[in-house]
Amino acid sequence: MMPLGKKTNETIVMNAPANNLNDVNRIAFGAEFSGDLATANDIRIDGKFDGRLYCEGRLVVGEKAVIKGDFFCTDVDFSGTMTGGNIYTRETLSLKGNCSVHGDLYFKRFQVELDAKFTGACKVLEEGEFAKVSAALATMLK
Amino acid sequence: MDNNVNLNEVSRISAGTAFKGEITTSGDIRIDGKFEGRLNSKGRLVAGEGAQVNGDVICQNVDFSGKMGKGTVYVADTLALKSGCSVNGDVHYKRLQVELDAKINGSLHTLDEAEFNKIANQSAAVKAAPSKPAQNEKQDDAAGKEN
Repeated sequence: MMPLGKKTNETIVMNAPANNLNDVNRIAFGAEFSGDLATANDIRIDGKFDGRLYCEGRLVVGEKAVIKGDFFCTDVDFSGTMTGGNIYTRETLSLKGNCSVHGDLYFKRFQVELDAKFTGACKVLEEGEFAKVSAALATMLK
Repeated sequence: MDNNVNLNEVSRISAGTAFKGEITTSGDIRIDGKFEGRLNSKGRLVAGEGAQVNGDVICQNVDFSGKMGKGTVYVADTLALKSGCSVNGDVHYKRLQVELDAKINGSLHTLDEAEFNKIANQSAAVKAAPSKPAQNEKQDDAAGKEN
């Protein structure tokens, strides 16, 4: 096991190249995606998404976003609405104030702000569980 | 033409991303990764040099620099095939612009507004999936004729 501080630094370095706006995937407000999406970069959703999503970076769900389905991500910042499904987060899952989540959450670390609405189950991921559940979608990137 | 597009309103499939499925959007979209499925946009599609597109695309305007494996493209206004792009498939457009060194294997068709609207509506109906609304429309049509 690595010290917690060191691990955090590594995560930041890993995400640094994706800070270029052109590398961030985006589902804009007014756009609806349904299907499977796999990405090595970050993704921001402000529109609607229904399906399965695999993201090796950070998933940001904006306030107006409505999502449904299975999500496999390294980090998640959630401010929108989830109407059903599962979120698997390899590192940190953060539910922001006024978000609304119906679904089950799996994570390593979890943070909830005041006024976040959450209905569902919570579970800490076991070693290797993330890789196992996300394997099918991760192959899309190859 | 409004070239000052707010970046936040553009959907984007970046390089290093694969998407399989269906996209409907009222705004613009940029693809630099892999796309497979159906895209219906009321705005502009920009496919970058690294983009791989397979499937049906229905758009207002298209700037295409990437690779299209197989599929059909319907463009209500202008289709621009940029230098270095490669298109295998059928393209339907109102206005076409092709740069030197664009590779095209497929058929080219012009498209008028009525045809485009028909195809766009059909695609929207397929997307709405449940067959009930379509049936209702037919019934309404039949009722209209009787009257």
